[in-house]
Amino acid sequence: VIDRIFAVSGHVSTALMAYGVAALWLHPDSWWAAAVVYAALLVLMLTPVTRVIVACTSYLRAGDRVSALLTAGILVVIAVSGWAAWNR
Amino acid sequence: VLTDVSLSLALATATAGALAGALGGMLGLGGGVFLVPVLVQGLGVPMPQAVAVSLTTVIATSNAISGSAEARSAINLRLGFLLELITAAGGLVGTVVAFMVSDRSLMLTFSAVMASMSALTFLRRDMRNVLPASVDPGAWGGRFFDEPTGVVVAYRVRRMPLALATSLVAGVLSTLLGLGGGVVKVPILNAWCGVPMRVASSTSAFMIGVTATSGALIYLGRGLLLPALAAAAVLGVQVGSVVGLRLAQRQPPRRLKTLLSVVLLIVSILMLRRLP
Repeated sequence: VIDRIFAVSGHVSTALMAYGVAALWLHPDSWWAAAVVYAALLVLMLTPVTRVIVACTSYLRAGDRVSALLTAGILVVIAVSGWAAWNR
Repeated sequence: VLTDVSLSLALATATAGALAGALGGMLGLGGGVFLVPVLVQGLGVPMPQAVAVSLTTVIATSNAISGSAEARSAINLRLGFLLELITAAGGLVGTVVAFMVSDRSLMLTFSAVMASMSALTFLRRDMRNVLPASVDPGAWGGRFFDEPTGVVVAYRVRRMPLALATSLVAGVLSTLLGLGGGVVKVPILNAWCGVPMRVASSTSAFMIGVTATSGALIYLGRGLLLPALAAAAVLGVQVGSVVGLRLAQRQPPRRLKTLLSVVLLIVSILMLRRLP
Protein backbone atom coordinates (compact mmCIF):
# COMPACT_ATOMS: atom_id res chain seq x y z
CA VAL A 1 0.00 0.00 0.00
CA ILE A 2 2.83 2.40 0.92
CA ASP A 3 4.62 1.70 -2.37
CA ARG A 4 1.40 2.46 -4.23
CA ILE A 5 1.00 5.73 -2.34
CA PHE A 6 4.54 6.72 -3.34
CA ALA A 7 3.87 5.73 -6.95
CA VAL A 8 0.64 7.76 -7.03
CA SER A 9 2.31 10.78 -5.39
CA GLY A 10 5.04 10.57 -8.05
CA HIS A 11 2.46 10.62 -10.85
CA VAL A 12 0.52 13.46 -9.20
CA SER A 13 3.72 15.48 -8.77
CA THR A 14 4.69 14.94 -12.44
CA ALA A 15 1.20 15.85 -13.68
CA LEU A 16 1.13 18.99 -11.49
CA MET A 17 4.56 19.98 -12.74
CA ALA A 18 3.64 19.53 -16.41
CA TYR A 19 0.40 21.46 -15.87
CA GLY A 20 2.18 24.22 -13.92
CA VAL A 21 4.95 24.64 -16.52
CA ALA A 22 2.40 24.85 -19.35
CA ALA A 23 0.36 27.37 -17.33
CA LEU A 24 3.49 29.43 -16.57
CA TRP A 25 4.23 29.81 -20.26
CA LEU A 26 0.66 30.78 -21.07
CA HIS A 27 0.35 33.12 -18.05
CA PRO A 28 3.91 34.10 -17.00
CA ASP A 29 2.73 36.40 -14.18
CA SER A 30 0.18 34.03 -12.74
CA TRP A 31 0.79 33.34 -9.04
CA TRP A 32 -1.30 30.17 -9.04
CA ALA A 33 0.71 28.60 -11.88
CA ALA A 34 3.93 29.30 -9.91
CA ALA A 35 2.27 27.92 -6.78
CA VAL A 36 1.36 24.69 -8.60
CA VAL A 37 4.98 24.22 -9.76
CA TYR A 38 6.32 24.99 -6.26
CA ALA A 39 3.87 22.50 -4.72
CA ALA A 40 4.93 19.80 -7.20
CA LEU A 41 8.62 20.50 -6.47
CA LEU A 42 8.00 20.27 -2.73
CA VAL A 43 6.23 16.91 -3.08
CA LEU A 44 9.16 15.70 -5.20
CA MET A 45 11.80 16.90 -2.72
CA LEU A 46 10.11 15.52 0.38
CA THR A 47 9.55 12.04 -1.09
CA PRO A 48 13.03 10.54 -0.30
CA VAL A 49 12.91 11.70 3.34
CA THR A 50 9.35 10.38 3.66
CA ARG A 51 10.61 7.02 2.40
CA VAL A 52 13.33 7.01 5.06
CA ILE A 53 10.75 7.83 7.78
CA VAL A 54 8.46 5.04 6.52
CA ALA A 55 11.40 2.61 6.46
CA CYS A 56 12.36 3.62 10.01
CA THR A 57 8.86 2.92 11.35
CA SER A 58 8.72 -0.39 9.44
CA TYR A 59 12.02 -1.49 11.00
CA LEU A 60 10.78 -0.49 14.46
CA ARG A 61 7.58 -2.51 13.95
CA ALA A 62 9.60 -5.50 12.76
CA GLY A 63 11.89 -5.23 15.80
CA ASP A 64 15.01 -4.57 13.69
CA ARG A 65 16.56 -2.01 16.01
CA VAL A 66 19.91 -1.76 14.16
CA SER A 67 18.26 -0.74 10.88
CA ALA A 68 15.84 1.59 12.71
CA LEU A 69 18.81 3.27 14.39
CA LEU A 70 20.59 3.64 11.03
CA THR A 71 17.57 5.28 9.41
CA ALA A 72 17.01 7.56 12.40
CA GLY A 73 20.71 8.48 12.24
CA ILE A 74 20.32 9.46 8.59
CA LEU A 75 17.39 11.74 9.41
CA VAL A 76 19.44 13.41 12.15
CA VAL A 77 22.45 13.88 9.85
CA ILE A 78 20.23 15.32 7.07
CA ALA A 79 18.72 17.77 9.54
CA VAL A 80 22.14 18.77 10.95
CA SER A 81 23.79 19.18 7.52
CA GLY A 82 20.75 21.17 6.29
CA TRP A 83 20.93 23.42 9.32
CA ALA A 84 24.73 23.87 8.88
CA ALA A 85 24.38 24.68 5.18
CA TRP A 86 21.58 27.15 5.85
CA ASN A 87 23.72 29.02 8.38
CA ARG A 88 26.96 28.92 6.35
CA VAL B 1 20.97 35.58 -11.46
CA LEU B 2 18.70 34.20 -14.18
CA THR B 3 15.05 35.21 -13.79
CA ASP B 4 13.38 34.32 -17.12
CA VAL B 5 13.31 30.91 -18.77
CA SER B 6 12.96 30.88 -22.56
CA LEU B 7 11.32 27.97 -24.35
CA SER B 8 14.62 26.98 -26.00
CA LEU B 9 16.42 26.97 -22.61
CA ALA B 10 13.64 24.87 -21.07
CA LEU B 11 13.75 22.37 -23.96
CA ALA B 12 17.55 22.10 -23.80
CA THR B 13 17.38 21.62 -20.03
CA ALA B 14 14.67 18.94 -20.42
CA THR B 15 16.90 17.12 -22.95
CA ALA B 16 19.88 17.27 -20.59
CA GLY B 17 17.59 16.05 -17.79
CA ALA B 18 16.48 13.12 -19.96
CA LEU B 19 20.12 12.10 -20.46
CA ALA B 20 20.79 12.38 -16.72
CA GLY B 21 17.65 10.31 -16.00
CA ALA B 22 18.66 7.62 -18.49
CA LEU B 23 22.10 7.35 -16.87
CA GLY B 24 20.44 7.15 -13.47
CA GLY B 25 18.07 4.42 -14.63
CA MET B 26 20.84 2.34 -16.11
CA LEU B 27 23.80 2.97 -13.80
CA GLY B 28 22.47 4.51 -10.58
CA LEU B 29 24.23 7.83 -11.15
CA GLY B 30 22.54 11.15 -10.38
CA GLY B 31 23.82 12.75 -13.56
CA GLY B 32 24.85 15.98 -11.82
CA VAL B 33 28.39 15.53 -13.04
CA PHE B 34 27.07 16.03 -16.60
CA LEU B 35 24.13 18.33 -15.96
CA VAL B 36 26.01 21.09 -14.12
CA PRO B 37 28.64 21.65 -16.89
CA VAL B 38 25.90 21.52 -19.57
CA LEU B 39 23.79 24.12 -17.74
CA VAL B 40 26.71 26.41 -16.82
CA GLN B 41 28.98 26.20 -19.86
CA GLY B 42 26.47 25.18 -22.52
CA LEU B 43 23.35 27.13 -21.55
CA GLY B 44 24.74 30.03 -19.51
CA VAL B 45 22.88 29.27 -16.28
CA PRO B 46 24.68 30.76 -13.22
CA MET B 47 26.44 28.16 -11.05
CA PRO B 48 24.20 28.27 -7.93
CA GLN B 49 21.05 27.96 -10.02
CA ALA B 50 22.59 25.13 -12.06
CA VAL B 51 23.48 23.27 -8.86
CA ALA B 52 19.93 23.82 -7.57
CA VAL B 53 18.44 22.35 -10.76
CA SER B 54 20.95 19.50 -10.66
CA LEU B 55 20.04 18.59 -7.06
CA THR B 56 16.36 18.60 -7.99
CA THR B 57 16.97 16.26 -10.92
CA VAL B 58 19.02 13.95 -8.68
CA ILE B 59 15.95 13.65 -6.42
CA ALA B 60 13.68 13.15 -9.43
CA THR B 61 15.95 10.38 -10.76
CA SER B 62 16.05 8.76 -7.34
CA ASN B 63 12.26 8.92 -6.93
CA ALA B 64 11.61 7.56 -10.41
CA ILE B 65 13.97 4.63 -9.91
CA SER B 66 13.08 3.72 -6.35
CA GLY B 67 9.38 3.94 -7.26
CA SER B 68 9.69 1.47 -10.12
CA ALA B 69 8.86 -2.17 -9.50
CA GLU B 70 11.95 -3.30 -11.46
CA ALA B 71 14.44 -1.47 -9.24
CA ARG B 72 12.55 -1.81 -5.95
CA SER B 73 13.19 -5.52 -5.71
CA ALA B 74 16.93 -4.93 -6.11
CA ILE B 75 17.33 -2.08 -3.60
CA ASN B 76 19.18 -3.18 -0.45
CA LEU B 77 17.80 -0.65 2.04
CA ARG B 78 19.77 -1.90 5.03
CA LEU B 79 23.11 -1.70 3.22
CA GLY B 80 22.08 1.59 1.62
CA PHE B 81 21.22 3.20 4.95
CA LEU B 82 24.51 2.10 6.52
CA LEU B 83 26.56 3.45 3.61
CA GLU B 84 24.46 6.62 3.52
CA LEU B 85 25.18 7.32 7.18
CA ILE B 86 28.92 7.03 6.52
CA THR B 87 28.59 9.16 3.36
CA ALA B 88 26.83 11.88 5.35
CA ALA B 89 29.62 11.75 7.95
CA GLY B 90 32.11 12.05 5.07
CA GLY B 91 30.24 15.14 3.92
CA LEU B 92 30.83 16.74 7.30
CA VAL B 93 34.54 15.72 7.16
CA GLY B 94 34.64 17.37 3.72
CA THR B 95 33.68 20.75 5.17
CA VAL B 96 36.76 20.54 7.45
CA VAL B 97 39.14 19.17 4.79
CA ALA B 98 38.03 21.81 2.27
CA PHE B 99 40.43 24.37 3.76
CA MET B 100 43.44 22.04 3.65
CA VAL B 101 43.40 20.75 0.06
CA SER B 102 43.81 22.82 -3.09
CA ASP B 103 41.11 22.48 -5.76
CA ARG B 104 43.69 21.52 -8.35
CA SER B 105 45.23 18.61 -6.43
CA LEU B 106 41.80 17.39 -5.39
CA MET B 107 40.48 17.39 -8.96
CA LEU B 108 43.65 15.72 -10.24
CA THR B 109 43.32 12.96 -7.63
CA PHE B 110 39.61 12.49 -8.38
CA SER B 111 40.29 12.33 -12.12
CA ALA B 112 43.02 9.70 -11.60
CA VAL B 113 40.73 7.65 -9.33
CA MET B 114 37.89 7.78 -11.89
CA ALA B 115 40.24 6.69 -14.69
CA SER B 116 41.50 3.78 -12.56
CA MET B 117 37.95 2.75 -11.69
CA SER B 118 36.99 2.92 -15.34
CA ALA B 119 39.82 0.50 -16.17
CA LEU B 120 38.94 -1.73 -13.22
CA THR B 121 35.24 -1.88 -14.14
CA PHE B 122 36.14 -2.71 -17.72
CA LEU B 123 38.59 -5.45 -16.72
CA ARG B 124 36.05 -7.00 -14.30
CA ARG B 125 33.05 -6.70 -16.60
CA ASP B 126 32.61 -10.46 -16.86
CA MET B 127 32.55 -11.02 -13.10
CA ARG B 128 29.02 -11.68 -11.74
CA ASN B 129 28.50 -11.39 -8.02
CA VAL B 130 25.48 -13.69 -7.86
CA LEU B 131 25.10 -16.96 -5.93
CA PRO B 132 22.34 -19.59 -5.88
CA ALA B 133 19.25 -18.39 -3.97
CA SER B 134 19.75 -21.13 -1.35
CA VAL B 135 23.00 -19.53 -0.13
CA ASP B 136 22.73 -17.52 3.11
CA PRO B 137 23.25 -13.87 2.08
CA GLY B 138 24.56 -12.84 5.52
CA ALA B 139 23.67 -9.73 7.48
CA TRP B 140 24.16 -7.20 4.67
CA GLY B 141 23.53 -9.23 1.51
CA GLY B 142 20.21 -10.16 -0.05
CA ARG B 143 18.27 -11.83 -2.85
CA PHE B 144 16.64 -10.46 -6.00
CA PHE B 145 15.08 -11.61 -9.26
CA ASP B 146 17.79 -11.68 -11.92
CA GLU B 147 16.13 -10.72 -15.20
CA PRO B 148 18.83 -12.02 -17.63
CA THR B 149 18.81 -15.54 -16.10
CA GLY B 150 15.13 -15.53 -15.02
CA VAL B 151 15.79 -16.87 -11.50
CA VAL B 152 16.06 -15.49 -7.97
CA VAL B 153 19.70 -15.14 -6.94
CA ALA B 154 21.55 -14.26 -3.73
CA TYR B 155 24.64 -12.17 -3.04
CA ARG B 156 26.91 -11.56 -0.07
CA VAL B 157 28.64 -8.29 0.75
CA ARG B 158 32.41 -8.78 1.03
CA ARG B 159 35.13 -6.40 2.24
CA MET B 160 32.73 -4.30 4.32
CA PRO B 161 35.53 -2.01 5.63
CA LEU B 162 36.32 -1.08 2.01
CA ALA B 163 32.64 -0.32 1.32
CA LEU B 164 32.53 1.92 4.42
CA ALA B 165 35.79 3.68 3.50
CA THR B 166 34.51 4.25 -0.03
CA SER B 167 31.32 5.78 1.32
CA LEU B 168 33.33 8.10 3.55
CA VAL B 169 35.48 9.21 0.58
CA ALA B 170 32.32 9.63 -1.55
CA GLY B 171 30.88 11.93 1.12
CA VAL B 172 34.07 14.01 1.29
CA LEU B 173 34.19 14.33 -2.52
CA SER B 174 30.49 15.13 -2.60
CA THR B 175 31.10 18.17 -0.39
CA LEU B 176 34.35 19.26 -2.02
CA LEU B 177 33.34 18.84 -5.66
CA GLY B 178 29.56 19.09 -5.55
CA LEU B 179 29.03 15.58 -6.94
CA GLY B 180 26.69 12.79 -5.93
CA GLY B 181 28.35 9.74 -4.41
CA GLY B 182 27.07 7.23 -6.98
CA VAL B 183 29.94 7.71 -9.37
CA VAL B 184 32.37 6.54 -6.64
CA LYS B 185 30.26 3.95 -4.80
CA VAL B 186 28.73 1.92 -7.64
CA PRO B 187 32.04 0.76 -9.23
CA ILE B 188 33.70 -0.12 -5.89
CA LEU B 189 30.66 -1.97 -4.52
CA ASN B 190 30.40 -3.96 -7.72
CA ALA B 191 34.05 -4.66 -8.44
CA TRP B 192 35.34 -5.37 -4.93
CA CYS B 193 32.51 -5.78 -2.45
CA GLY B 194 30.49 -8.54 -4.10
CA VAL B 195 27.38 -6.42 -4.81
CA PRO B 196 25.75 -7.22 -8.18
CA MET B 197 25.57 -4.33 -10.64
CA ARG B 198 21.76 -4.06 -10.48
CA VAL B 199 21.72 -3.96 -6.69
CA ALA B 200 24.59 -1.44 -6.52
CA SER B 201 22.97 0.90 -9.05
CA SER B 202 19.40 0.65 -7.62
CA THR B 203 20.58 1.13 -4.02
CA SER B 204 22.80 4.02 -5.05
CA ALA B 205 19.94 5.62 -7.01
CA PHE B 206 17.70 5.50 -3.94
CA MET B 207 20.32 6.96 -1.60
CA ILE B 208 21.45 9.85 -3.83
CA GLY B 209 17.95 11.28 -3.51
CA VAL B 210 18.21 11.25 0.27
CA THR B 211 21.65 12.91 0.09
CA ALA B 212 20.41 15.67 -2.22
CA THR B 213 17.28 16.54 -0.23
CA SER B 214 18.63 18.99 2.34
CA GLY B 215 20.66 20.90 -0.27
CA ALA B 216 17.74 21.14 -2.68
CA LEU B 217 15.36 22.39 0.02
CA ILE B 218 17.88 25.07 1.01
CA TYR B 219 18.22 26.29 -2.59
CA LEU B 220 14.42 26.33 -2.88
CA GLY B 221 14.08 28.25 0.41
CA ARG B 222 16.69 30.82 -0.65
CA GLY B 223 14.89 31.46 -3.95
CA LEU B 224 17.78 30.17 -6.08
CA LEU B 225 15.72 27.44 -7.71
CA LEU B 226 14.03 28.61 -10.90
CA PRO B 227 10.74 26.67 -10.80
CA ALA B 228 10.16 26.57 -14.57
CA LEU B 229 13.74 25.45 -15.28
CA ALA B 230 13.72 22.82 -12.53
CA ALA B 231 10.33 21.52 -13.67
CA ALA B 232 11.54 21.23 -17.28
CA ALA B 233 14.61 19.29 -16.12
CA VAL B 234 12.50 17.04 -13.88
CA LEU B 235 10.05 16.25 -16.69
CA GLY B 236 13.04 15.30 -18.86
CA VAL B 237 14.37 13.09 -16.05
CA GLN B 238 11.00 11.30 -15.76
CA VAL B 239 11.13 10.32 -19.42
CA GLY B 240 14.85 9.48 -19.39
CA SER B 241 14.71 7.33 -16.26
CA VAL B 242 11.85 5.21 -17.64
CA VAL B 243 13.84 4.62 -20.82
CA GLY B 244 17.03 3.96 -18.81
CA LEU B 245 15.32 1.44 -16.54
CA ARG B 246 13.77 -0.46 -19.45
CA LEU B 247 17.11 -0.52 -21.27
CA ALA B 248 18.93 -1.71 -18.14
CA GLN B 249 16.48 -4.59 -17.69
CA ARG B 250 17.21 -5.92 -21.15
CA GLN B 251 20.97 -5.45 -21.15
CA PRO B 252 23.36 -8.09 -19.88
CA PRO B 253 25.43 -6.84 -16.88
CA ARG B 254 28.57 -7.04 -19.04
CA ARG B 255 27.22 -4.33 -21.35
CA LEU B 256 26.13 -2.12 -18.42
CA LYS B 257 29.58 -2.41 -16.89
CA THR B 258 31.20 -1.45 -20.18
CA LEU B 259 28.91 1.60 -20.31
CA LEU B 260 29.78 2.47 -16.71
CA SER B 261 33.45 2.19 -17.58
CA VAL B 262 33.00 4.62 -20.50
CA VAL B 263 31.01 7.05 -18.32
CA LEU B 264 33.72 6.98 -15.63
CA LEU B 265 36.36 7.73 -18.24
CA ILE B 266 34.31 10.69 -19.53
CA VAL B 267 33.90 11.97 -15.95
CA SER B 268 37.67 11.70 -15.50
CA ILE B 269 38.31 13.70 -18.68
CA LEU B 270 35.63 16.31 -17.80
CA MET B 271 37.27 16.81 -14.42
CA LEU B 272 40.69 17.33 -16.06
CA ARG B 273 39.15 19.93 -18.36
CA ARG B 274 37.74 21.84 -15.38
CA LEU B 275 41.18 22.11 -13.75
CA PRO B 276 41.86 25.66 -12.56
